[in-house]
Amino acid sequence: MKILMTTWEFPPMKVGGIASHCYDLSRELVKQGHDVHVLTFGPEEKDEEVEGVHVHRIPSGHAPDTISWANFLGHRMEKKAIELNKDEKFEVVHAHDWMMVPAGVAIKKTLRIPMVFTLHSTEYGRVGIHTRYSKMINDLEWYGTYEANEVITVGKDFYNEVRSLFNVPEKKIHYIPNGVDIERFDIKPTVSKDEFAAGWEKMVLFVGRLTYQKGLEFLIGAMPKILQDHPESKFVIVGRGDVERYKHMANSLGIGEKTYFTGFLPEDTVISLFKLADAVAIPSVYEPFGIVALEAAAAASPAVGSYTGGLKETIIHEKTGLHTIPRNDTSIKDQLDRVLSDPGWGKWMGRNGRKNVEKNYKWSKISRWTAGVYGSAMGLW
Amino acid sequence: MNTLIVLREISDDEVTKNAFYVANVLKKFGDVHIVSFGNDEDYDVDGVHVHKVNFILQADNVFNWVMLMNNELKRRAVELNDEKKFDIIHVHDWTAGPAGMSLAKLFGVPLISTFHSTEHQRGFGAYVSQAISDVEWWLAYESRYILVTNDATKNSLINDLKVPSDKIFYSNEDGIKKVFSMVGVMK
Repeated sequence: MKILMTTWEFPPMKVGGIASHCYDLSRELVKQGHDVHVLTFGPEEKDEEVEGVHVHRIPSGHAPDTISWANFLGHRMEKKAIELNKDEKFEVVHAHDWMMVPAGVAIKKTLRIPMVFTLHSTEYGRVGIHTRYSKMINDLEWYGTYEANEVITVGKDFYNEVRSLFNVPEKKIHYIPNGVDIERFDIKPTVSKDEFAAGWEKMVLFVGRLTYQKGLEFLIGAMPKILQDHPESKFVIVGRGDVERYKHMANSLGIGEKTYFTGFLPEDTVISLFKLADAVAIPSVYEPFGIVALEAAAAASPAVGSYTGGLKETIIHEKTGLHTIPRNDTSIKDQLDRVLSDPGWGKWMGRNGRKNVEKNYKWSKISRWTAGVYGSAMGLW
Repeated sequence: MNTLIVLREISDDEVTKNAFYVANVLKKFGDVHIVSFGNDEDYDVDGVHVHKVNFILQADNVFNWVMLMNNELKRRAVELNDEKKFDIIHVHDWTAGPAGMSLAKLFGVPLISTFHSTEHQRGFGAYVSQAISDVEWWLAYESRYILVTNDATKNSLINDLKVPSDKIFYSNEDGIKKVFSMVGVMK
């Protein structure tokens, strides 16, 4: 199949899960024999090939906010698609999240090809609809599901959320989980644990954006009680966002020196930390899928994560990790305590997690399902 | 010579009057189709074919609305082109710019635009003014020639959007015929 994918982020530009998703999916589709072109944002126009995937970076224009930026980008991406289509003859356009709705719909209507729309999260879930701005994003998300021939949602709960939120007809909406590139996690750690925690300390790792959604404040709230029973704990927090706010929170609870805010780290370092961690904390408030849980599992480390959204499926309680009550620091304390008290059990759960992703979350399987949805969009079956 | 004219809306304003004026000059040389936003309907006005398309989404500001609505204009134009094979696209203002630019590229035909004013002239006071001005810049850049209805707009195009003056012509019968024959489609 000749596939055109549109995503606002693509490595090396990586803010959230969409970049990894598209990077892994596109490479796997190429391995399976498909021809894939990716249109993504870049500060200047650039065409390159990344492991067989044709990646085209497109600038946008001056815009006062992300919505108008996305609209301008959509227009420029569409023009690029028209140029490429002269030789390529694309059969389907796959748009990711609301920022790519302008691009996806324009390409669908101009090139007259079917559109597949993947939702990775919703504005409603992220922040609620309380402003005109959020309503516009919400409307764009709805519009994407309306104009798309097929819609993909990345979590089982999330599938229900989207179906009811946007009234999407059952026959055109699908649940396909995210996957993880397991081989990336087979590297030898490129850093040593003592760069982040002392030899005698147990490392509890948090990887994610520092926003309310990711629930870091509840993990921080649990830290004093965890440290009472496990003074050997060290909390390593990897991610960008409102660092000052969370540092202040930790300091005012008196446990600041048991935390290490690393900021952004290169991928190999993050993968190494996943492997070296004694536990990976995922205290999310809203998590349609939660790739972090798969990353912890691929690294054979136990995940202790909120019983919410995609984490309900990707963590199997007491088998590959532990579930905590969302927004409840006592629950987080209780479950982390269990893992820290029994490292052998933690390792056992980590190994099970690894087997689970090998069985159920490999990109080779997921990209085949995705190609199946492309086929439905194209009316092949 | 089959001409496609795209404009944001058909009403009793100066832009519409000018669009139909151009259409009536060009209809002597071939089929003229106008695509615009409105209720889904097709009708004829003195031999000029009008096609209106509806757009379901409301937007939080005019820039976002225009950028998204233009996709419906493109959709209708692509349908019409299956039969008509347009030789030239002519658009009025930035509000039909995205459609004009994409369609000219898609059909591989020249683009001529008419600017009735620029955002600079309109005061540049809106939240989205810079984005609108960017669309105007791109539209002027991708147009082979530009028609204007007044001097002030011509000057703004030259001074604010840095358009070469030899690209700009007055929208009267001579100017229109000259520009359309210069792009080599008028027979």
